[in-house]
Formats: sequence, structure tokens, C-alpha cells
Amino acid sequence: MRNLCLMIGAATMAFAAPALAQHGNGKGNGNGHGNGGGGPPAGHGNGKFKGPGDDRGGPKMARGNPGHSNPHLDRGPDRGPAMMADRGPGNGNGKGRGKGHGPDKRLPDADEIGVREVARGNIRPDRGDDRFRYDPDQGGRYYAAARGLIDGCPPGLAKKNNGCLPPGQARKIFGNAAPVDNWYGDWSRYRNSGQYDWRYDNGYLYRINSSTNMVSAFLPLLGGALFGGNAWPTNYAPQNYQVSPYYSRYFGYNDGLDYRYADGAILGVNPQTQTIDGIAALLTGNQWNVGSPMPAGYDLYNVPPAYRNQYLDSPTSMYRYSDGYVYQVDPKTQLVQQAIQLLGNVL
Amino acid sequence: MRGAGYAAAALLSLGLAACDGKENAATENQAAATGTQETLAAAIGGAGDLSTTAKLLKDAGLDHTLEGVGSYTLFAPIDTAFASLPEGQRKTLENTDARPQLIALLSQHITTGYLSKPDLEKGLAQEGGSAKLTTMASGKPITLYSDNGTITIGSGTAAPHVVGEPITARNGVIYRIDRVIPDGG
Repeated sequence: MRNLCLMIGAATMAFAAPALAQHGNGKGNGNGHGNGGGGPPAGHGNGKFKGPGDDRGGPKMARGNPGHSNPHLDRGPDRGPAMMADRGPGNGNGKGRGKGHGPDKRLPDADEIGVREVARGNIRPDRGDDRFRYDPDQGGRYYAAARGLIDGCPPGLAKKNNGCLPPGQARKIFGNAAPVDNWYGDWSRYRNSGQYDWRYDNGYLYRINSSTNMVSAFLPLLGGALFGGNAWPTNYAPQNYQVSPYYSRYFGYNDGLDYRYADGAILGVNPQTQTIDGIAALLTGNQWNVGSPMPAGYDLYNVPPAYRNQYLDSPTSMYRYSDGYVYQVDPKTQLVQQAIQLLGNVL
Repeated sequence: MRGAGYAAAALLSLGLAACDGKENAATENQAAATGTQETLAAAIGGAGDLSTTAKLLKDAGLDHTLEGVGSYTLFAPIDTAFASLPEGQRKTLENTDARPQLIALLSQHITTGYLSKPDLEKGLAQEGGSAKLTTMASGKPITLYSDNGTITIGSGTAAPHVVGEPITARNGVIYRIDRVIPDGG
């Protein structure tokens, strides 16, 4: 990813060639594992845009999510009910079709913008208990892998018996009766469940065992522990929070930082010092699955201007941008037809 | 073939831009498509009536985010909107300890993608006067309503109104609103 300027010429040519060659091409490479309707666009041009900095492009990006009985998703009882409900059924996988491509109007011109069209795995980021990791065999973006919630005692709290003391310093959030009060975003999962209650202090959300009143787990929050100048949480193994090379390219910079996902954001982290540099991007965490209904909240056309020539709404297709991708949606059925990578940085 | 050469040259120039610090091909394309190099962060910073929003975004560490390649549409409360919040809430937002809360609040004012004014108006008309927009607050949507040329976020007398003309930036659009969006939009 980094230090690729030296390879710029090669990268450019590698990128330009397929872009020029793709008009009329009909081959998709290696999409046999496409995901539930990855379909024709999934096969389009994959592998041909591959630049030297991304040897995981093309077919692997389009491979989708075989089986999706992903062991990483089986988090056990700690996973909050909201997460369970969100995930739900529908993670089955169809067979991707390795051929075909959309109409030429969607094809990028070499002097415009690099575009990859990919089938997508049934993957979603979310705030809370699960976190996300790129895997070349998982549809390309990220998938729930590493947990946000960390079992055990947070820094500064001593372990004793079956919990951590003292929870007393973990205040209810600014004096509110419940953490959800006066908070924005999806905090419903942090309501008192009877078994657990939640407290906030010093950048962490603490899960309190209601019967023992001791801390049993903690969650680093964006803006708290997860903030520029702070150390990356030691409990977060970097490899489990790495974003996909595509996201690193698209949202990141060639600045020597690692880009990692946690609590709804992509953060730049100095790999030498493990110090958080800053927030590179916010993600919606919406779930887009090819063949499934478009998520709520995309009623209006929102494709960035640089891509509008290629992805303009029509009676047969509508396009929506989300988290670095453009999605093609059937206007009548509202089903997602394909996911399109926008190569922000062609390196 | 000549076209191919031009294309390769164009891409080469875009790629070289990526070697220049924080520029990359996407930002160059964004600038070309929007006619401005100004980022969302700079645009908010330059708007005299959005100084509180600009400060809070900086406090939240989101100014860096809004300089990047990701496209966002902001519904930015004007200064009087923050000034009208209860004092306790204002102080909370200025408290470093409350930064996660601040980010959660601001995230509810940020939607994904580039929503131009024509597309906003056209879309609302097509949708029968109301439309949902997903936000960066865990994807939780807000609902926009249009009534006789007035656009509100949510309904009721306390609903924030979109006021003035939007600001277009390289990587997004800023709509001024006259109140802070309450939790739940």
C-alpha cells in the first residue's frame, strides 16, 4: 500500500490497460463463489484492474462469502441481542456467475476513474460487539471478525474474584439514569438488560454485571480511547482490525499509517508506535447484500459527482453511494444488484 | 490507440498526484467534477455562521475526516442552534470527557454521499415529500420532510429547518439547519 509512488508507472499502466480493454469484454474471473446474485457485474473486469499495490483484487474481491457460517461471527453469548437481530438469516450464498457485465455506460473510461464491480459478501460493520476484518476470501470489504467488546478488566481496574474492581469510578454517563439517555446513535444495546448494565468513564464503556456490580467487559469508544494521540487498545490485535486494502487505498493516504476499523470509523494508526493518528473516515455500517433489499436511508440519489456520468439513475437502475462503494439497485424491487468499488487511489 | 495513450497519460498524472502527500486520484477527480478544491472541513471553517459546528468537528477529530476522499453530506447547525441548547448540554459537548458523546451527536448530522440541492428537491418530490437518509451514527436514518418549499429534519414544531443555500465542497455538501437534530432525527 505504501511507498508505491516508485511503482506509479507500472500501477498506472496496469490500471489503464484493462480500463481501455474492457469495453465489450465479457469475462469475469473466478467468480464461482460469488455471493447470492453476484451475477454479471461481479464478473466484469475483475483482476484486470489489479495494480501492484493490490494483489488481492479482482477475483478474490468478488468471491463473496462461501457458506457464511463464519466462525468469527459465532461470538457466543456475549454478543448483544441487537447484533443477533441485525444479522439474522439471509446469509446464505448463491453461486456467483463468472461472466457477463453491465451495459457500457457503467464502464469507466481510462481517463476518468478506476472502477471495480464486485460481488459482495454478506458482511457488515456495526458498532458494538463485533468488529471487522478484511479477508480476501470474504467478498473484499470487511467482515465481522474481531470483537469490540473486550472481556475482562480494563486498564486500571484490578481483577478480583469474578470481576473487576472498582466499578464505582465508572460513572453512569454524565449522571443519566441510563446510558442511552442523551446519547446519539444506536445505544439501545447498552440499556440495562437485567443481567448487565453499562457505565461510561474515561473513554471506555464498561459492562457491569448487575448481580455482582463488577465490571466484566469494556468497550473502547470512538472519541474516547479511540482518538488521535491515544495508544491503540492493546487488546485489539491489529491484524483483526485491519481494513481491506481497498478501504486503505480509498479512505487512507500514502502516509505510512495502518488503517484499522473500530467503533464505526476507520482510524489511522502508526504501526511503529501503535499510536492513533486520527479518524480517516466514518462508516454507516449499513448492510448491502447483493440480491437483498437496499438498506433504509437511501431514498435520495447521493453518488459523488465524479462518478455521476457512469452511475446515473435511470428507469431500470438506480445507484447509491455508501461507505466508499456505489451500489446498483433495481428501482422496482429495491434489490441490490451489484456493488461497485470506486478506486479512489489507483496506486 | 491514441486514445489509449491519452488515457494512460491522464492516469499517470492522477497517480503522480497520489505521491503528493494527501492528494490522490480520487481527490483530483472530485475537484474536477465539482469545480472546487475546497474540502468540507475548509468550507465549514470558512462559513461565518457555522463556527460552532466547525469547532466541535475539530474537537471531535472529524476535521481530518472531512478533508479526505469520503463523500459526506452535512446538516450543520448554525451557531444560534447550538446557543439555544440547554447550558448543561452545551457544557457537556465542550467537555473532553464527553467526546464520544460529541462524536455520536455530530455523526447524526452527517449522511453518506453527495446530496446536491437539485437531487434533494427532486428526490423529496419523487418520494412524496419525505425521504430517509442514513447517517454516520450507526447508520441510523433521519427523515427529511418537504412542505411548500420548506425542508425539515423530522416533524413537529421543534424540527430543524434547512436554511439558506447549501455549500458545495469537493467531497460533499453542507446544508445549514437552524436547530440541532435531536436523537432519533
